[in-house]
Amino acid sequence: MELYSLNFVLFLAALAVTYFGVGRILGRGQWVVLLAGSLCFYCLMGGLPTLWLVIATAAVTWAAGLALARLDAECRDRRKAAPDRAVKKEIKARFARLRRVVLLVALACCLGALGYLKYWNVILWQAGAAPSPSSLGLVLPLGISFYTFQAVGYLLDCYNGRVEAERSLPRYLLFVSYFPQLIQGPINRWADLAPQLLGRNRADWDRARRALLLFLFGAMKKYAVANVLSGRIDAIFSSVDAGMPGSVVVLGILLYSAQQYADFSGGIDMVLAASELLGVRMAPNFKRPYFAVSLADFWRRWHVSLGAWMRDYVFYPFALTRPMKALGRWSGERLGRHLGRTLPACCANVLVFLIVGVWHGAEVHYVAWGLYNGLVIAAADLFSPAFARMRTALGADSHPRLWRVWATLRTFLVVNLGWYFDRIYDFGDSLTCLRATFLNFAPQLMKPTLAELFGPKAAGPLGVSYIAIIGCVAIFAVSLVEERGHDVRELVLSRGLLVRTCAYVALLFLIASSYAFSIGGAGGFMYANF
Amino acid sequence: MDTDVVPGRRRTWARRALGTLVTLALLALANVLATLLLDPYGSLSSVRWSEYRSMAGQDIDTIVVGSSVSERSLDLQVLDGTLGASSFSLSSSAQSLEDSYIGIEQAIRDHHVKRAILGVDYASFSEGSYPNARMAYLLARCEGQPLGYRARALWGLMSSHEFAGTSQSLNFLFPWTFNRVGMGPRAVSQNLRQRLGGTTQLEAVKQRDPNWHYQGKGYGNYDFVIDYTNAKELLFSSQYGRKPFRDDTLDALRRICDLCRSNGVELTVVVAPCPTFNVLCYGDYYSQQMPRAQKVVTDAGFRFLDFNLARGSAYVADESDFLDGEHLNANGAARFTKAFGELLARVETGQDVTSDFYSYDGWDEYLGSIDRLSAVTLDEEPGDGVVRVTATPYAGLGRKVEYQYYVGERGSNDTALVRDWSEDPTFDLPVTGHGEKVVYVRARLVGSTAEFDRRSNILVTY
Repeated sequence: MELYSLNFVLFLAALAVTYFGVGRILGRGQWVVLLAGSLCFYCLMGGLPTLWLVIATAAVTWAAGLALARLDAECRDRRKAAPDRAVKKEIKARFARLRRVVLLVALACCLGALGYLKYWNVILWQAGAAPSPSSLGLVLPLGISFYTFQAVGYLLDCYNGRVEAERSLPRYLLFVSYFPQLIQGPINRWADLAPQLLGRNRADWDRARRALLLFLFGAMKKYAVANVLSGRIDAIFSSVDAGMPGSVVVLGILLYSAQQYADFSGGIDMVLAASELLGVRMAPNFKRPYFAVSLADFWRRWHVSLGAWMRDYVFYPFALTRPMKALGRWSGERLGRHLGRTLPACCANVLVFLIVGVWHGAEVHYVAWGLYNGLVIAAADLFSPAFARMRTALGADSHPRLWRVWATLRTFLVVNLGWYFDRIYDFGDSLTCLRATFLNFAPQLMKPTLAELFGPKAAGPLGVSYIAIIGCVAIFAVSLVEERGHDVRELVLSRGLLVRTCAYVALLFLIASSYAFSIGGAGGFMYANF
Repeated sequence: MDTDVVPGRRRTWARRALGTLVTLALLALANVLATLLLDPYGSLSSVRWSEYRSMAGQDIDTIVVGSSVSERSLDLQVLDGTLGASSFSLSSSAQSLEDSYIGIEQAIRDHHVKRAILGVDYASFSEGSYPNARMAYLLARCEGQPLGYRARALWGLMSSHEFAGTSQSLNFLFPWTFNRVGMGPRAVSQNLRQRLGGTTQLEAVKQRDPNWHYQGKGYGNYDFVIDYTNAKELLFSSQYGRKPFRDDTLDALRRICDLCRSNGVELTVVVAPCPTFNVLCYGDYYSQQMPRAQKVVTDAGFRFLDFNLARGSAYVADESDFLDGEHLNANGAARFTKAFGELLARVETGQDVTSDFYSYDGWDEYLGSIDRLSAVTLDEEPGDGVVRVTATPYAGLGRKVEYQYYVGERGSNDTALVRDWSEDPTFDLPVTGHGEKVVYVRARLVGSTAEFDRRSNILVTY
């Protein structure tokens, strides 16, 4: 079932009516409707055979959270009854070990299942023990990465005492299986989402209008831009060879920049809108990433919830481990204060992006992509004093706008270099394309490719290429306005009826006119089976 | 009670309701405008359905439905003459079986037809519905109908099992996205002029497609003859792939059988003939899958006639009968319809026509009966210093084929013989550096006295 489909519209409408109706009539129990709806949604999306895994992941992390709470309570009681400090200390250490065991077992179950389904066949294949990466027939369940990360995040928050363990499994199951986040995130936090999921929500007209506009904008991104560009990008990268001109490679990468953003953020907009309609605000996942002024800033704006998850559950815990602290002390004494502070963070960054790269896939090019991002961010941190001096020397402070434009363009280039390893699905081909970009640019050869992909023949009777261009312009304009701190939806909805109607009509027409002409017929979301 | 609050809230809700209605009305208006401008005035389906509606109250005892193979295979004048029937065709290009059902149902309701003929081919059962075709058919049959009829028809399409979970389900609300004229101002203004200026739908179709000759009663065709040199582009296996029949299409066929049975309509499912290479290209799939459709029809007590397996006593297609890889041209349709009509007449008098056809069980017997080379295609594979070109013949079982190779330059008629007649289908073209050559093959059955039976060519780029 696609999000932009009659079935989903009917599903959401029926769910909303039931949800608000129950709230109005009974005054409570709305969360039960959400839970039933979410499980139903998962089945409608074809996930029935693997629904047990969602429930099992929820059950394991819920039980582990409760076990941790019980251990904490018991530890407190025993320490209170302890005769002296030495005994108290010993009790504390013993319960800390028990807590760690509970945590590790639960993590092994959840992450082990994810790792097995995602990587085992690929590892065997790369080791020559399997004929192909899919020979074992292991099917990656819908949304497994997202609900696993979300459940693990909850468990780690319980372990660190940030949240109190939830006693009701059905309520906790709702948090894990809440339908808008299942396909491709965002990865939400218990502390933010639970009160909204479990609390009372009323129907709100203005919220519904905002949700509709966001949904249509997201669908426009997905269908009028991402789907239209997808086939053209495939046409460029389907056969990479040494003679491929660098200009064509660059064109493909730039198109991919737009396509990936439109696909991912478009899908996120649609699910955020569906959730907003029900009165549940999920964590935002995109904050105009192509306006970033550094690679680190980019990753704080792109897939925000994953970045935050990695920061809180990988970066900080790793950077604060004893070896990293020791490294910090050692380098601080020998190499200076800056390096002493920065080196552990650099190592942590490289680790985080290595994990993110592997999370995309076990293939070499994804690992390279992750390492590239981690190393560039680490290098930027290491050389930040030098960059700051250079900035001052160039007079950036007296031309902040110009500097910002330069930083944005520079970051855009750096990000796009990384896409060489993300979109080109063979590491060797990625290197071939890089070589072509710098040693065989041949700009004159871009023109026939542009004509082939975007010229009158390719544009089709409805000028589908122009639809994608209009879509990109619209996305840019909206992003620019939002970057300046304005609420675009409020700007549109506060205008007269004619303006609002024109917005709805324009979005609907862009969506409708695009679907039939996308080459290759892209359908599902890129991140749906992550 | 605070009387100010309740009226205020009512006013707000009234304003919101009014605003929503105005928005929907403006959206509908924009949609209608776009449809008027972009939806082609005069589709083949609209010509058919408007003539069909003009025959209200007239006698139609035979309804013909199905995809384009049905649309172009059955010459209704010949059919009526042979059977003594009064027929009408509601076939259309890429018509799904669901739409065939609708066509039969409509004809039963309007004219109490006694006979239904469903023309199919392999792709009728191996492919899903094409939303463009379904939208064109829906628009044509809804023309001039009351709003309730249109709404029900549209809802039926949007909520159909095949589309309800896809984005097409909502896009059906925007018909102009499915079938449209060119986006240029000239095409749009011509479309509008035709729509508003009194041009009939038939005239509009003929202006757009002057090669299409409409005979009437839903039947129209072309006079072109297939170019066997281009067989590779016409291969079904390349266009559609080799796939088994879908369960949903067999279910749709079952529903058609049930409809006919419950209304006392005699159904004949006919597999229209196509060039032999497009039967052979399916390999074993054809003889394994077609019986599934045959069983559905025969289990319902109706007849299933595959004219690709017709013996010489029933029908023999001439090579020039075909328009392209799947359709008969006007001459071919007339010849085929005569043969089909005569056979159907015999069937309806109770005669057994089983012996007039090869069977799927005796597939080798059918393959052995093919005494012509239907087509030859070429494929290339780069090697070390050579490009290997391989010819694939489409001939009967056990038939030996020989090949002759020529090479030439692109755009030039000059060719050089590089390999004389041999039964080896491969030829290694030596290549150095970068360039391109055109490789030609002539093929014939061993023992043929013709200069060649079939030929083909391929542009080799190295």
